[in-house]
Amino acid sequence: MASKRIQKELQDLQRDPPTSCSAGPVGEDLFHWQATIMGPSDSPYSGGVFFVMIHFPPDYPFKPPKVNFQTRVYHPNINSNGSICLDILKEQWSPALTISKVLLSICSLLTDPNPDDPLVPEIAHIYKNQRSRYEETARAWTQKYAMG
Amino acid sequence: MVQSGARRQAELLRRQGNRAYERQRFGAAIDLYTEAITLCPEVPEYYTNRALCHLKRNDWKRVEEDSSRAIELDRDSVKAYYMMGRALLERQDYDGAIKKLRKALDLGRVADPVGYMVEEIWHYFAKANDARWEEESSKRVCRLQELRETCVEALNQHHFLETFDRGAISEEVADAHSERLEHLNQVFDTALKADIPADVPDYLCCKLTLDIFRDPVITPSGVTYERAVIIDHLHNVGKFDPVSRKRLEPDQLVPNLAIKEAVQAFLDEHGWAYKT
Repeated sequence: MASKRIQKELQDLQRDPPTSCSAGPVGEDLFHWQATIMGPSDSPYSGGVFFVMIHFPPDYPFKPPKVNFQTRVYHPNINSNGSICLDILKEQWSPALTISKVLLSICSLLTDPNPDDPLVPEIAHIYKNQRSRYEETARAWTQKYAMG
Repeated sequence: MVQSGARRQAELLRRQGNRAYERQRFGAAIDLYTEAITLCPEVPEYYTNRALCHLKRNDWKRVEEDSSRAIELDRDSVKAYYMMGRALLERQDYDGAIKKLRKALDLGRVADPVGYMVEEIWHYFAKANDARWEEESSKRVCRLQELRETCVEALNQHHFLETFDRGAISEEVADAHSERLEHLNQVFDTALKADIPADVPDYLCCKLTLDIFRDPVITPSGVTYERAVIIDHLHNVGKFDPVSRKRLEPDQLVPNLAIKEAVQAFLDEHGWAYKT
């Protein structure tokens, strides 16, 4: 079922692409995708283009896809390896979710970090106590790693 | 006493036949099943077993004979209807194949709704439907195309006579003519539309497979899923409704007959959807 379902998702994405992201297979391998996410305009990531790797497990959609940032991001829930702390990619996964919905959730995570469940506690701390410093650094990182 | 002796002997032959089948020695298996049938000609399994050997050897005429005999002996034999359907598909009797395979599908779902057999039957059921659609749709398209050409010609002729009578070409007449031609084309385009593959509406597709429903079941949350897949989810992911996330047990699933009928109505109109 996995490859058929992934194929359907690809068709749907091509027919009706979400406004702020795009995704598709890297090469011949249908189970290995790359996606791009536009930094949301109401966030310090605005103007940046972020690359994301997606690996589908063989028993997809019964298991969640593995999603990692390739572009460096200054964010309480994304670490330097590109790992993302997002409940729907772990214990809150449901087979009714699609890559399109996952990417939209990542977009809203960029806009609204979740400092109470951080992957990088230092950034979460700064986010909570020195919001403007967090925003400044996030903007600087976006400029450095996610533009041009 | 004689009767049961014969039956015992036949069973022995059947087991030997099964072993030969497993070793892919289909000819030997056929001989053993034939002996069993000679001893006990009323046992449907001997015929379905032999039919399966013929199937492996692509001997479709014999597949048909044996499955047909098995059906006479057992009106509930999933395997007999399945192989009969495949034999009919092979000789391009699509209507017959669809009928037998549908029967196999119905019986198979009662016996084991999520088994591999149902999946396999569906594969050939869809194939037969697709082949029938392919055949009928190309005929329909041809016929409509021909009719369209004839109608255009008739309109052109009509227009010619119209201008001929008047002795001059008025703008009004020319406009009316091109408008008529346009309407005619619209009518034909609409008639051809059902035969052009497009997207299946989302409400006829399972949220998990993203594919058109085959055996839809509804949960207490009101969400409809493909039976085999939601059962797989409940066993392997967790006992919750994937969309509503409410707790869900396998015995709470109920067939969604309305959606099943809607899917059938859609497939009857859009035969291409069997292939998606």
